[in-house]
Amino acid sequence: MMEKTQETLLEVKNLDLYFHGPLHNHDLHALREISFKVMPGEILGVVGESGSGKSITNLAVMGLLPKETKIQSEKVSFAGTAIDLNNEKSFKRFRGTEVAMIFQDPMTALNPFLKVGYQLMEPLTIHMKMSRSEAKKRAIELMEKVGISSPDKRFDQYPFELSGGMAQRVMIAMSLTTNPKLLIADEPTTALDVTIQKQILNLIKDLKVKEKMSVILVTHDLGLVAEYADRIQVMYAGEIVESGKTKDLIENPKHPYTEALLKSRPEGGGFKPKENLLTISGVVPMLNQRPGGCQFAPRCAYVEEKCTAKTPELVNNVRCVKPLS
Amino acid sequence: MNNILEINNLYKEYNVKQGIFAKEIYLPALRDISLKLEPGKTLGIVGESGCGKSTLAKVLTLIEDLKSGDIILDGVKLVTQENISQNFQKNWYQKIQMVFQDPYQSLNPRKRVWEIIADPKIVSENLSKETAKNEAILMMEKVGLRKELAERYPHQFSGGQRQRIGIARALMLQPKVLILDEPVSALDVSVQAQVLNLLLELQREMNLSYLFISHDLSVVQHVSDQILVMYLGEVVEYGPRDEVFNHPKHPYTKMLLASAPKVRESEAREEIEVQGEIPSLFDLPTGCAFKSRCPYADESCSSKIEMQKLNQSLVRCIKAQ
Repeated sequence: MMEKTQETLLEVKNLDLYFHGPLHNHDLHALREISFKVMPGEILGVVGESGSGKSITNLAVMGLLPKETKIQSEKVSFAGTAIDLNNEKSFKRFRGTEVAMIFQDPMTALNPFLKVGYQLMEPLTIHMKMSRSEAKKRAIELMEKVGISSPDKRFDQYPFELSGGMAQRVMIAMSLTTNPKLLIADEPTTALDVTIQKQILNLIKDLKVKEKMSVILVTHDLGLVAEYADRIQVMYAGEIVESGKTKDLIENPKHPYTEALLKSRPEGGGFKPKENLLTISGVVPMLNQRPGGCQFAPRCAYVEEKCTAKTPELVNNVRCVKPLS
Repeated sequence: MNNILEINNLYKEYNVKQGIFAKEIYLPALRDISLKLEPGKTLGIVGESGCGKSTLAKVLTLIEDLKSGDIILDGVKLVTQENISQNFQKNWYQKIQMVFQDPYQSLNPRKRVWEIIADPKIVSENLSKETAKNEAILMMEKVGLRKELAERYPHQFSGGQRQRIGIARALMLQPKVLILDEPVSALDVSVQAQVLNLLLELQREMNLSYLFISHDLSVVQHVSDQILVMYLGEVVEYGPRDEVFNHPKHPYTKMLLASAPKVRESEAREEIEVQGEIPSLFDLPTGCAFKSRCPYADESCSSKIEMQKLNQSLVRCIKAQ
């Protein structure tokens, strides 16, 4: 299908990130050659296990990294404007206004001492320079938009009076205050029950359609991205190992890690009940114990000599010397 | 076949009186729970947070007392915990043990791995440390941990290995029933399958019975023989795995199944609108507990709803068919 060429919303090219601290005598290479694009109005699903670098990538783009990091990149641009990741000032223009972020645990992301309404009005008065009465009106509108029942009452409640699902809705409402072009949702539903998870993700999908908002959906749950994302990017040990359109990637995984992730789930491998599942041996390597060559080689079922010889390049969106066909 | 575990009409309340002049308030945490578990089988328990899954585990492990009803575990009947002897407790724990959700918080960080695993044996059978250590090492090998690791501390292990330690500890007294409370949800996807396989192998080998508590429906579907769906402290549907997953009868079961993320489209299930949140136990609706979220609810749902048998399942819904 031919599409009209659209302007890329977020582009990251060859981003490398290192941690250094007093305990390490050399820098730890946390992210390697991260390149990706987010187009307007799409949901990009980022999947990976803990330690794969999926969260730190987003923190880097938002300029929220701790001091002990060193970052290099060939190019990072947002809506056509280049961003210097090492310059705090270059984030100011878009962080919180054009790009918003929601987090895993909505209960700890909200300030427990302040009323929900006050927290919702804050970005409106700061970023949008609204008066208090205008801000209150807009805040209640937003609460309605994200499906919070009786918003007038909720406005004066404290976060502890809300359920997890309601609190996440408040977080989403808060991120919408400035009409962002990009929403980064980092494991937005991991702390929630499945029925609430479905409601929150449907809300995010609705917002994508109605507000033409792009979303980066970070999760460890392949089922979630398969259902909601337009494109998927799989990360492993600080690298992007595969990316592609959701349907292609789920039906024809090219990287052995993607395949193993899909097949080790009870629903993905076509197993009979109570039959042993396919397993990936070993664990994700620690940051200071990363192997040379392909990061997945020690756990890969198809490993060969050439896999450990040198680090594979990303070819046709797959980082593997002999991709599956 | 003789059941290894049987629960009959179990009720449990928490007294949540706050302050000395406050009125007594009771939180009905479990209402009318009945279930049966056969040797070597797995009963999967699913439901959202606050549905009573963990309270049930606490009652079964004698952490909480029950209000009424009874539990029969391998021929031994428990009606209340008042006046039970230490011997009764010891005997009970030899038959039922638990594996916890978070392998990072459920292991004592100041003990060596073999001490953690051997502890139940030392406490309940007065074994010498030496003998208990040897048994612990045998158990480590059984759950796939190399015996060289016995002298290490929990922080030196990965999440999957820690969960193996938790399983080894639970198996030390050779129980007949294991309560598995979300045993793989704290683990990475690639490690989950390893632990699930271990549990399946141990079950086949030792004829263990599992109560498998989880919110992950596909995992529950894979490991269970029977499924128990709970909502607000009640059983809403109880039946064989394939019956519950392929022909769900209670609207809540349908909603749960419709909410589970699907990797492939072919897995699509009956669509039902997923709406609302679980109400508070303090103001329970009269009649059906689920009616505030149910798309099929009407006035008839306000009367008391009994369990009814439909095909091979028990369902607490007057509209189910």
